[in-house]
Amino acid sequence: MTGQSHRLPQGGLIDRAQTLSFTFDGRALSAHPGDTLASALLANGVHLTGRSFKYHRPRGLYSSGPEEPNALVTLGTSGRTEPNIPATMVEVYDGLVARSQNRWPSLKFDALAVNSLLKPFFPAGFYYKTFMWPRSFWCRLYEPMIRRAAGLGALANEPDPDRYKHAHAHCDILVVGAGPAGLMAAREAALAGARVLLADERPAPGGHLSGETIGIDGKPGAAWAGAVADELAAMENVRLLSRTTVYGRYDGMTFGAVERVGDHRAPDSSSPRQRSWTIHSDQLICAAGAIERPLVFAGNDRPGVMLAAAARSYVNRYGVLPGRNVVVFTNNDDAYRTANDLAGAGARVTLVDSRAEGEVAARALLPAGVEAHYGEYVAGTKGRAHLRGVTLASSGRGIACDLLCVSGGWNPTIHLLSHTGRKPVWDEATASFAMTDPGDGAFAAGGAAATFDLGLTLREGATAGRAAARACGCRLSGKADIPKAGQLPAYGVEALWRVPDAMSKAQGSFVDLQNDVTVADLELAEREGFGHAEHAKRYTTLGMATDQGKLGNVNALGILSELRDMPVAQAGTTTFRPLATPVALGAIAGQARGRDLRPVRHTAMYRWHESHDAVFTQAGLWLRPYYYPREGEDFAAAAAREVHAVRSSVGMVDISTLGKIELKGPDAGAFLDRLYINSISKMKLGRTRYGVMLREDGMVFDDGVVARLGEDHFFITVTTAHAAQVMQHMEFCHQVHWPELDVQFCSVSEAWAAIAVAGPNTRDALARCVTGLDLSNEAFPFLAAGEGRIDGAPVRIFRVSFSGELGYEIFAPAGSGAGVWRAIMEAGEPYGITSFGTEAMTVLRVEKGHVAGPELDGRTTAADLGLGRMMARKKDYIGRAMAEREGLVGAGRQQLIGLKPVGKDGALRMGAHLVNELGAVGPDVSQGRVTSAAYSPTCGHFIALGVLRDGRSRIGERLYAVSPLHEEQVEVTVTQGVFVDAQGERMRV
Amino acid sequence: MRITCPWCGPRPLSEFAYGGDAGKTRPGYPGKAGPDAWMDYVYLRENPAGRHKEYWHHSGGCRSWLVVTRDTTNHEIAKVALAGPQAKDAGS
Amino acid sequence: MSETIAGYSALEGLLKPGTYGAEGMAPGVSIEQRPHVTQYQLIARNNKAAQLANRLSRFLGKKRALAPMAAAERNGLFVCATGPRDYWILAEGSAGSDAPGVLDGIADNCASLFDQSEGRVVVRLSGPNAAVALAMGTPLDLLGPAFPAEGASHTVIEHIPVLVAWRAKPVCYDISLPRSYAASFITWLRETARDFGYVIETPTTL
Repeated sequence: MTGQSHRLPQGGLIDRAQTLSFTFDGRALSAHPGDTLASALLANGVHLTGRSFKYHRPRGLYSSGPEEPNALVTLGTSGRTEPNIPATMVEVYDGLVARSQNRWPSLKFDALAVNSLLKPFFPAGFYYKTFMWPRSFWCRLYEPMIRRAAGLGALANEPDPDRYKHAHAHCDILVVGAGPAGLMAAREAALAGARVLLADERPAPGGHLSGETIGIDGKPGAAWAGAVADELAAMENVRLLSRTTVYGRYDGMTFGAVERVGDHRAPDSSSPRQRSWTIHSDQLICAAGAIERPLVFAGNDRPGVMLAAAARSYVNRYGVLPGRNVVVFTNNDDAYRTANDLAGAGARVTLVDSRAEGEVAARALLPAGVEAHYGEYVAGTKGRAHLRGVTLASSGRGIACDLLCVSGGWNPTIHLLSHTGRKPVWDEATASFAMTDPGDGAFAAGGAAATFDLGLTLREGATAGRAAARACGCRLSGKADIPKAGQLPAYGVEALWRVPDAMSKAQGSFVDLQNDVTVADLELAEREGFGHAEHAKRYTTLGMATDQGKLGNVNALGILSELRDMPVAQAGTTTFRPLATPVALGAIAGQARGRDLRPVRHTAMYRWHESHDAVFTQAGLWLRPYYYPREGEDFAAAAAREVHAVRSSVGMVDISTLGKIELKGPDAGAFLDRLYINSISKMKLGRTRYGVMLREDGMVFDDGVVARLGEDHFFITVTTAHAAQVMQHMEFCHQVHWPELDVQFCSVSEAWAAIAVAGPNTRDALARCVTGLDLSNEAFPFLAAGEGRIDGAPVRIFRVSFSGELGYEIFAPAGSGAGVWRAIMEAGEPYGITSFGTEAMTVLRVEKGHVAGPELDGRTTAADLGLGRMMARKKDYIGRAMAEREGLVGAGRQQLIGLKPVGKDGALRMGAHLVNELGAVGPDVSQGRVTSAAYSPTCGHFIALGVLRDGRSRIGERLYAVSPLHEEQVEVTVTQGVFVDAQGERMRV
Repeated sequence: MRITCPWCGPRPLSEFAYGGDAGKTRPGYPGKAGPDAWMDYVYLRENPAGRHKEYWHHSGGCRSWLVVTRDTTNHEIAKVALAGPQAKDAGS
Repeated sequence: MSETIAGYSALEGLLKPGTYGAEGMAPGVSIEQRPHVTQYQLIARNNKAAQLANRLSRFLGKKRALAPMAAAERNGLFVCATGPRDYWILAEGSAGSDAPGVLDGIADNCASLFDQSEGRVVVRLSGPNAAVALAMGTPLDLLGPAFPAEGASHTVIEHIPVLVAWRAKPVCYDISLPRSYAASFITWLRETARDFGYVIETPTTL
């Protein structure tokens, strides 16, 4: 125990037989298993643990729990560096490395402490009124300066090597908090047969009992808790999650929680570091306890000022004496336990009670030798890096001390009862905001219910457990077994929001410790008209730090209510939102990070593409070949070669990503009639048709091919991008609009691999591998559909063309896809068959003037795209009525046209705007835009499709295609929207 | 959040896709509905602070379209039903 | 004959037989691809849902129609009630070859039949921790009381649509998923099973 100057010779729940080594700011220190970093630092006499955010004031440990505002440390090294961790929540392990934050060059001699002197210039909201002049200084000086000064900890900017996981859990009753209330609730609910999930943020159960000397059933509180937890662990219907914080409650009794699986051990990638849980429950029992609130007076932020219950928990739970000369400043009876416990550990204790002598019932509990002052306040503190003494308000007397324990009362921890929007209510008796009506399915017990008596807490927990179990439909038997709790003083709190201004200067009285917000800031906010709780929060940043105002919010509300001269009940609260405490992004991401962020989808021919050097592109979740570069080829050369191969001989492309839907049933044709603008039900067997679907508002939704394979049997393809939406749309139409139509359909996108083969030599090439189907033009004309075999596999073949060349779409069962692909490759070899990717495919279809995704962006109608004649007159279909509305027909519509540059070398860009003259500005200057652009090797220059106001009557006009973002402008000529084979002869041979 | 699909039971939000307001019925065809009726159907919606009927698709489950009655102020779901007459098939 | 049996090639190279994951303990999960699974989707025609349900229950030798999410097996056909008028059937080996004939008879004039075999791959999970691993990894309340002893349900695992079937003979979980997601699914599966220790079995040939 060398060097642990403040460790008590006995006591605490630590394992004194083992010693651990850790470092803090490079200094080697020792601890015991069971210590937190906070208790270990205090044991070693380390009182200075950080520097405050704005003023860089020296700060020390203020609490013993997640509400800690000051002692935020950075843990770990390299990619495991994690900033802003409260030292109170870190379990020490051998080799732990911790560093303080927000100080340079060191904690003791922080250069930015000068900010403290400049305090008058940095009141709340100062940045709304400064950093404005000169304007040029913003980018060059102010912003970089602020950026460097901002924040507390720093990130490592290296990849995190740890594993994180995500898990689901279901239960009937979620009990949050394994303190006395939670343990009682869990036990009663479990005995009644409910599925219980009990979560606690600490490694062991007990809640605040671990930090108290009070007994239950004659045993120490922690021992009682351990015994109940063992009982629960043996029950099959109970799951215990320790080191688990339930950080948020969401709609429908869904909860988010994070389990710190490996943070208490040396880092080890073989097991997950943290696990985030999505918990679905029927009922919630919030037994999350309460958080003590500080008192507000000048100098209340010095290292050595600490919450009263925290101080005694360091003694009782960790065997550490945080100070030897102690002042306890309180407005309630609970802090008398601190006076008692610290005196029992050998400290000299002075008590300062803001309440008048006659009202204090707990006086009898004070041990002999404790000097007590009543109706008195602490007005100020002395000391810099560590507290040296306090000054009393009325007498002006100074008391030397190295620890000041403060207690302004207790705030129930009600986050989980409030995340779904329920607001707490002011309870005068306990001077706290409590959730008196938690709502259906939710219960509060113990401190979370503003019950601060242990006996009542145990009873409340049991009642809540039974009530929740009953609400789940469990049958209760017998009566709850309530243990006997040791006696405690009554609470007797008298609200004291701040020591009055006359005695304690507002400017030095901290309300929010982490964001350095003082009473003076709140006064300023109120003066400037931002006195409402929600406004004051944003104006002063109170409650916006990583501790989310756990220590400061209620005091602030009290102070504001006094400033605004209204009862606290009316002042209201700000909104509680998840996350209740900070959670590592890694835990939320789980396995979905890096390459695994989203699933990747591969077609059946993926491995062939990979082994043939395809460069891939992402189309949604799919990986598709973009182009197949050969030796020495760049992107442009490869794409040009692929396009040329199709136009001159034969090429093939993997189109398996298309959505495919199979429809059967007597009304299949009638159903399709109502989805497409053109007629489907009258199609002949063995034929295909190009179909267009609209949205109900009249805009084009999707296009594809419809094939009639039988009287009551259709097979349709839809675009890759809209596959899921079209399926959803069709199911909606069938289930909601026309359930009387007898049609059954399902997605078969995955069941069929698909290959498009195109080029003048396609027929000859396919004839070498297709059996069972006559591919001659007479037997199988343009738009025919048939069945055959390739490489033994049954295939469906449609004679359709995206490129404008003689072309076929071949559908093979997915398991045979790779084999069919290879067979076609082999059959086409004598013709130099070439695989092509999506870039060549785009060039080909733009050359042909075939619309695709960029033209179908939800702003174009069928008429705009020149497909108006496809729209049937005499049937109902989705979008029919709205497509006819005034605004979508007639003059002024942007119509599909082609564009080519005037100068042969001009490059065209998708998204460029079409304008009549350069230099004009204003909203009506744009006449339209370029929708698809590509370099056409066939034409020898760039080509584009676009939409242009009244475009069809402006063929031949010269315009400019401008992209101000890229500082580009190109003179263009408006042409017909087709650049190769305008008559469409090549695909009909 | 969870929605209790009448077929699959309570399922998490990740299995569902939102489908918009369920308060309007598509005008019939040929029918007498003029442009105003269609404008109303396609674009106009009530936006109550309170219970509201909306479509949800159980896309990750049984692929039924559902009509969910949900309170927009507290997100509580009062009722979930299969959209359309599938409802009578579901019981068999 | 071109590439392998339906679905097999999508998992090729992703499930090399061996023992993986947590060391020093017996593997808790066993993973095996099922390469020969015939899969059909059966959708009732209008006003025929009850008739279809009755035909299926007669085929399965059951007194009552399958409850939602329930499943039952007969003659190698594992029939799952996946929707109000929707069934999913899995069959392996020779039962799979017989399936179209059997199902055509059942579907006659009351339902439409769709072959989904080519588009899916099936992975089987078994072992002492399979249930726990799957319960943690999927949004289904697999360990809860509401789930029938044998059954199946569509759900979503990390954005991947899957059909999870839990079976009693043998006790195992079959996960049928679209073949294009195979690689991403196996990544998820291995990461999920890793902390329990898992063994990848050589696939059964039928």
